[in-house]
Parts: sequence; structure tokens; C-alpha cells
Amino acid sequence: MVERISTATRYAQLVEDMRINQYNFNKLTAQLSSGRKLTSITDDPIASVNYVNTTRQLGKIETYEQNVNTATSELSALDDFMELARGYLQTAWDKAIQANNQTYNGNSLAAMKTEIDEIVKTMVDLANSEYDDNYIFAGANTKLTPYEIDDNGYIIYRGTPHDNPDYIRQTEVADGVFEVINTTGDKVFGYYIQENVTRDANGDIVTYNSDDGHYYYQDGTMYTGDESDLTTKAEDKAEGVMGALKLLSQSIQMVLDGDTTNGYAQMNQTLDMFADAHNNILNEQTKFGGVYNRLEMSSSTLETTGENLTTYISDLNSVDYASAITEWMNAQYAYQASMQVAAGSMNLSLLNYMS
Amino acid sequence: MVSLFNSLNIASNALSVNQSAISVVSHNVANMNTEGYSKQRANLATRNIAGAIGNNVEAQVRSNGGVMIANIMRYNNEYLNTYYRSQLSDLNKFEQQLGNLKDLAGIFDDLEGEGIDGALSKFYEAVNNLNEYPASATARTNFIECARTLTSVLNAKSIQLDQLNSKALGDGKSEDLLKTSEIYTKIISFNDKLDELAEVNKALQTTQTGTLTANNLLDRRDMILNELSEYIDIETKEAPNGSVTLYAGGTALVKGAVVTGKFDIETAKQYCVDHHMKYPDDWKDDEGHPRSDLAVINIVDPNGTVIVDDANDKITGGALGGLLHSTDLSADGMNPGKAQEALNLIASELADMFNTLNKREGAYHINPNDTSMLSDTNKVDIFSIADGGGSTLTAGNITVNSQLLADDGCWLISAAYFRESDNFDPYAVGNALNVGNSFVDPTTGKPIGSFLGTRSEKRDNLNGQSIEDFYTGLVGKIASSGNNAQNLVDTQADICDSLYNQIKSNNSVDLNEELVDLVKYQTAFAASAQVFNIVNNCLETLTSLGR
Repeated sequence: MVERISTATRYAQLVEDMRINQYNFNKLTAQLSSGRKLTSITDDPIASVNYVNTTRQLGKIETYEQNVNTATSELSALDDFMELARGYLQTAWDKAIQANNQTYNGNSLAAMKTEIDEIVKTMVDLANSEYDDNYIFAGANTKLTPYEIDDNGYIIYRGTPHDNPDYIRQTEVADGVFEVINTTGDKVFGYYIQENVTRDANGDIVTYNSDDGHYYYQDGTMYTGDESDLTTKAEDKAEGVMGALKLLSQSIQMVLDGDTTNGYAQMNQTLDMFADAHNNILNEQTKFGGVYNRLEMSSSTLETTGENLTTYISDLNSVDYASAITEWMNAQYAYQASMQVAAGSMNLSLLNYMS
Repeated sequence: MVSLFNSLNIASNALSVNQSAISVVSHNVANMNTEGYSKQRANLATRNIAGAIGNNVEAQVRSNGGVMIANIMRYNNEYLNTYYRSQLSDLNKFEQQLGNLKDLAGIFDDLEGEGIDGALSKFYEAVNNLNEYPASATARTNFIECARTLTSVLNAKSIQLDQLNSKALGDGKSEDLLKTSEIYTKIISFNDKLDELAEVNKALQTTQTGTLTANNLLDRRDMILNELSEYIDIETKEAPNGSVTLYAGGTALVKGAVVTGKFDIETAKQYCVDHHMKYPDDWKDDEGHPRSDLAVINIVDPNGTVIVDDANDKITGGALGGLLHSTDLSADGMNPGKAQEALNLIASELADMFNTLNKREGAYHINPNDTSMLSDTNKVDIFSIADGGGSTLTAGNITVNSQLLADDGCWLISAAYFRESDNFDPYAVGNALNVGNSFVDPTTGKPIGSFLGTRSEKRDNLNGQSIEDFYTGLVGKIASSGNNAQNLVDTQADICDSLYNQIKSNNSVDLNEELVDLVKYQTAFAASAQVFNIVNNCLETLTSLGR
């Protein structure tokens, strides 16, 4: 016995078939017109979560790329500034060697001192250079002018000190990978300051340790003598190229003032200081050259990863037009066919044959 | 002896019967597109004349009375109807849940890079920028603005979730909101349907079964039962006269012509007040777990006396079941209630992480009066509760601390962190320990948190995940629940469609069948008329005999 099929069932089935074909057709039309496969996260949960994750990862990569770009241009500027500093240092070093020949007369030495003093000012200006509205040699505190020449001629560094490595600025170039992008002024330029120094009876420097209340020599051994034998007084402290320049200027002045023995002795000391300062700057340049190279490699890696992720995102959500249009046309034919069949079969009944 | 008048009567009666049968066919054709109409058929039977006693052929012929309509049969399969109604109830429940989940998926649709995920990414980009330039007012202001965007997005999403719940169930407190909710409207319609059912039952009790009128009433009754099953999972018990007793969760709502119970809904808060409980503190289940139901359905008798107190557990199917449990925190899959709970967790963990880092011992911010120096005189929260937001920080009330929004507020974001072993340097603005990379303190062996480290920080309260991973998990759960719900609805709709088609195939009118019947009855009618004429001619012949 054939199953009873009522007219209403036939109509309902035709309508349902047309509805399904219309739904498929509309869905493909929406995908084609928007260019996206996922019109809602519920379309494909796994693809949606992958899409959200990948988009976030891509966002991170864009941030890292920006960081790398900012860092490389800042490092380029840093290198340029250090190259300039090295040039001025070389000039001053040459002057120091000439002055140490002890063949220059007073006028020549005075001119030389004036030139050195100008180099000091230029060097301070250079150390106070800004990049993108940030003081490049101020350590982490990029808004504080790092160098200042006070009324007594001391060259004071106010940036974050280099002896605390936590005060450096870092930039994130990959998940959890940080690169140091700055150095500190005291490391590159040094300073010339006055500070309290405690010495023992022999003139050796000791420092007080607040944790245990004892004094220690610079080699780490504990001072065992009487505290009353220790004397503390303010002393000049010269470091780096700033210190060397200042000492050179002072030594020329001493020679000009007639204290030739001490003057030339101090002038001679500056030669080693210039050499050390030169090496210091060169070391920093080499170090940041390495960082620069790593950043360029990171940039290339980030670019490749970014391209891969973009391709992946495209695979996840972008419509493949060739296959989508084929599917769309098939759906269109199916929809048309269902309408045609419905129109053809709906009026089929015995009624057509009764008079 | 058999009289010719007997034959005349048989023919006349046959005309009348076929005329009625044609009327039934006509009724069927007229109702071929009427929703819920069941095809009817005139069942014909041989009509025997009483009193024809005897075993001889003559007596037997005399007893032939022609034809009569035994009854008007209604095409119907009660098993299919009952099964269809139970499946229809499930379908409506799933559709209601799907509707909620689609709205929910719309709220969390982050495919365009907008929404919470986008705001979190921007916020962490700002943290990254702050790490590079800790002393920069621009980086600090950008951080605050991105934090504001993030809190605004969280607030907006939370409000959208509240509105989604309010639209469905009210907010648990306001009677006015409840009265504009979807569940309230549905309950009014449901109660009206109960009245309609009682009316049809009453009519059925006074109508003879097997008649056109009774059949039409039964069609109406089945339509009402189908409509009722869209609201809840119903049970019925049919009396011989066709009237039904309707049960919901074991409680009779309609008994014959009488409505014995109706649904009455009140806010969870009102329910607590009625039961001398404090809302929401005392709003808990039997095991002491907090209840998330925003509305409570009671069953009341016609006098308004409660006969079933808190029937929420009994209403599991249909659209009402789907609506009522859309906030159920213990339900499988996601719902607006669970999404709200997850967002609240994200908000509170975010606030906890950044507030702790900004106020911890050893943290220093920039002195607003001298921005080259550090200070710890005014350590503040980064995220706080908005004014009037209560005492618990949630996604709905999280905001950026107003102190940070003041003119010099940006300097109050901590810029440096010193361990006990570090020498404090008041000029060390922006040391990397605070905002930069997290690392393990060699002296304590414990990780030192930092702003930037919060992005990957795994939190116990977030199932050991970072905020972003937890959020992606939430989106994934909503997407999966939505997808599963769609599949469930599709499958259930297929089942219902199949059953509906079976019922339609079984019950509804087929035009060809009716036209065949029409021709059949027309032929019988014409034949009977011919018989009538011939018998009439015979009678005329008889009466003309002997002229």
C-alpha cells in the first residue's frame, strides 16, 4: 500500500524544498557580497576562535613590528649621536696629545682650552639630544634633561644610572622577548661631579655598608681600623669623556697658571681617560649594532609570521570566489528548479480533467 | 411481499445520504487549506428495517432498508499527535535557547576586531607603549584612555547582557520590567489558551461524538493543545467525549470545562519578600547555591490561591522552559547569565591585577608636583567601581579611577618598583621592573609581576588562563553553544517537520481523493435518482393497471 500523500503535504513539502534552496542561495549570496565565510561566530566555532586568536596574534605582531621600527630608528639615531660623540672625543683627544707635547706657548694653550671648553658644551648638548621628544641618553627617564653644567662647572648626570641594569628601557619584539633599546648618559659620556669620599689613614677609599654597619675597601675586604681614623670630604670625580674633557681643560689652565708639573701630569692622565672613553663609546656602538642586527632579523621574522597569519586568516574567513561562485550558481539553479517544479506540480489534480 | 414503496423509500434515502456525503466532501474541499483541519469521511452503512422477522428470502428482502450514514469519521492518529506535541515542546525550548544564544553571539561577535578582544588588544598595546616610555605623559594618557575604552566596552557588553535578560525575564527586581518581558507576555497568552481549551472541552461535553460539529471541535482542541505544547511540556488525558484534562509538571491546569490552575509570575525579589527572604543574599537553592532565576512562576487556582509554589523546576520544556532557564548558571552550554558571570570575572581579575601592581609595597609613581621624581604618597587603584555601582566590582560597574582622570592623574600610574634589596633612587622614573618584563626575583625565587606581564599572567580564578585566553575561551563556548543549539534546532525541526508531514499526510485533505469521492457520490446520487424514477414509473404502471 502506497503511503497516503495529501494535497496539503505536497504543498508543504514544495514550500519546504523552496525554503531550503532559498536559504542556501541567500547564505552564499551573503558570503559572496561580504567576501566573508564567517558571518557569525556560531557559523563555525573552531574557525571563529582561530580567527579571533589569529587576529589577536596579528595585532601583537603589528605592535612588535611597530616596536622594532621605533627601536631601529631610535638605535640609528643613538648610533649617529655616539658616532658624533666619538668624533668630538677624537678631536679633543688629538688636542690632548698635542698639549702633552709641551711645545705650545700660552696663547696656543689658551686657544686650545677655549676649544676644549666648547667641545664640553657641545658634548653636553649632544648628551641632551632628544629623539621623538624623549631624551635619548637619560636612561629610563626620558623626560628629564640628563646633563646639566652647574655654576661651579660640574657636569652632572641626572638620568637613571647605568650601574642599575633594571633602569634600562626595553621593547618587546616577540612574545616575552625583550631587547634593550637605550643606554645611559653616564655610561657613554661619563660625568664630572663632586661627591663625598671616605678614606682611611693611608688614603685608600672605603665605603659604608648600611646593612652590617661596616666599612669596606673597593676590593671587598673589610676595614678593621678605628672609625675615627677615617676622613670624609667632598672630592671631584671624573668619569668618561666628560671627566676627561673637564680634567684636560683644568690641566691646561694649571699650565697657563704656571703649575706646569701638576698640570702636565694631569694632562697626561687624560690621555688614558680619552682612550678608555673612546673604547666605552665604541663598545656601546658595537653592542647596539648587535641589537640593531637582531631587530632587523626580528623584523624579517615578524614580517614572515605576519604574512603567514594573514594568509591563515584569509583561509579562515575569506571567501574563495572561484568555488563560492560555482556553489552560488548551483544554489541558484537548485532554487530556480524548485520554484519551477513547485509551479508545475501545484496545479496538478483531477480537477484539470473534470468538466 | 416487498412493496414498491419500500424501494422508493430506499432510493429516496440513498439520495439523501449521498447528498450528505457530497456535503462532507464539500466541507473537506472547502477546508483543504485550513490549518489543523482533519479530513472527515462519511462512513456509510447498510440500513436494516427493524421488525423484518423470518428466515425466508422474502423477509430478508423486506428488511433491506438501503443505506445510512453510520458516522462522520475524522482522520486522526492520536499517538502521532501526542508525540508531535512532545517534540514541538522541545523544539520551542531549543528555538528559544537558540534565539538567546544568537543574541548572545551577536554581543560577543568579535570577528570584526571590535568588542572586548579589540579593546583588550588596544589596552595591552598601550601597556607596551607605557613600557617603552614610562615617563611620557602621552604614553600614560594613552594607557588611561585605552583603559577607559576597555571599561566602557565591558560596561556596554554587560548592559547588553542585562538587557538580553531583561527582555526575556526582567531584571529580577522590577515589576515594571517583568511586565514588559517576553516571559510575561507568553504567560498571559498561555493562560488565555487554557481558557480556550476549557471552552472547547465544555462544547465537546455537550456535543454528540462522530458528528461534523464534534470533529470540528476536536480539530480546534488539537490546535489549542499544539499551541500549549509550544509554551511548556504538557500531558493530557482524554475523556470518551473528547474533552481533555491538561497537566503541567503533574498539576492539572484544565479539568474538562474548568480551568483549575493558571500560571502566575513574579520577580525573584518579590518572591523573596513573600517568603521573608532577603534578595539576592537569601536567594539560594536547597543546597545553598545562589539561584540565578530572575522570575518565579507559581501555579494559582481560579481564586488566586497558590497551589504550586515556585514551579520553575517543573517547567522544563517549551518556550517558557527555554526562557526561564536562560540565566541558569548550572545549565549545560552558555547562556546570558553564564556569560555575565564570566565577564564579571574578567573585570574583577583585571582590576585586581592592575590595582595590586599599582599599590603594592615598593611601587612608586611619578610625583605630580615634580615629574622628574618618584613618590609613593598617593598610591591609587587603576580600576574602581563606578558611583552607585554597589560594593562588588563587576563588568557592569568597572571604571577607571576618577583620580587618574584628573589633570595630573596620569602621573599616579606607578612608574617604578623597588625590591627590598634595591637601593631606592628617587630619580629612577620608569624602571623596567614595574611595567616591563616579569622575571623571577633571585632572592625570593618568586615571579615579580609587571604591567606588561599581566597579558600572559595565568590566573587561578580564570581556570589557570590569562585574561585574553579566558575571553577567547568564552567566545568559543558561546560560538559552540550557538552552533550546537542551531544543530539541535535543525535536528528537532526535522523531527517535527517529519511528524507534521506524517500527520498532514494522515489527516489532511487530498484533492484527488475528494474529487474521486465527489464523482463516486455523484454517481451514486444519479443512480439513486434513476432508481427512484424507475420505481416511480413502476408505481405509475401499477396505478394505470385496469384503466
